[in-house]
Amino acid sequence: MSATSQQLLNEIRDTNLSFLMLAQSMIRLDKPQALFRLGLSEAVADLISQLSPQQLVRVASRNLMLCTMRFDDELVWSLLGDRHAPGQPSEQTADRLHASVLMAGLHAAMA
Amino acid sequence: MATQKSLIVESQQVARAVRLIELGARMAVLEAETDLSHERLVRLHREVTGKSPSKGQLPYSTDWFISWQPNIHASLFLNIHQHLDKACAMEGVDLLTKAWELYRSDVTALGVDPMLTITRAWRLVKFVESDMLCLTRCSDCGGHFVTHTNEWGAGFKPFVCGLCEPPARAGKSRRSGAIH
Repeated sequence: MSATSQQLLNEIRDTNLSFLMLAQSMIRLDKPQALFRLGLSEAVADLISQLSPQQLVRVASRNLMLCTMRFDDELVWSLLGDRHAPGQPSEQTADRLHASVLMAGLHAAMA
Repeated sequence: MATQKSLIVESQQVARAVRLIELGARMAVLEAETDLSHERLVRLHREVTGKSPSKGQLPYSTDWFISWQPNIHASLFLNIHQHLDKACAMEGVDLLTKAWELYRSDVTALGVDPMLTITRAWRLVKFVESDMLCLTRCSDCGGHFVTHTNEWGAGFKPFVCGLCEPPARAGKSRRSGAIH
């Protein structure tokens, strides 16, 4: 295996571990807010918050990313990239708020 | 026996009232959401904020939530509120404060002032519960926005939100903290 792909796998594991640790501390600090910010169900959040440090490391040591792109919606991404209304100058808070409304609604539909 | 008040329940109510006062809730919200007496709530209010609670009627109109800028704020808050409501079991007051804090952190991160106060947010939830306002899906972007109930049913023209088709003067305010 080449050096760069090994390096990529290491980075995936590192990212997995930081993600799990962040998720765990968010859930422990304030579960309802963490559910919204992470987009998780309560059952999964409870499982993650109970993992021991050893378990976290074991779960993170995989070649697959444990977190995925959350929004499978073209419009959300174009709004986040400020490209919904290309004629307007950038720094438009309306577009970003539009994205926020869509994102909040999308996981409302999933939950 | 039944008349004896539980101290634990009472301290929870006080903690809740303090939380609401810190977030800027008006007296009507406190009186509706806790069992504490008016006098105790006024005292709490003085202790937390250092001044007497503001008096007078609460704004009572569903129309405020429909105008362009407030509608964006109200829709964001209500989407968060409904998400939390489905995601985990909480009492109504806690749901209100959690959802409002998430709404506030979201808009302030974008540099916009939280225009929907917690009192307005509470009103909004009450209007939705009494079926005067609801979330309607925009036929263009698919987002859910606050509208009057029964205004956009079958047989009417499809609903398009104020962000997909902003009104002519929308977003022209030079005031900082407004939506541009």
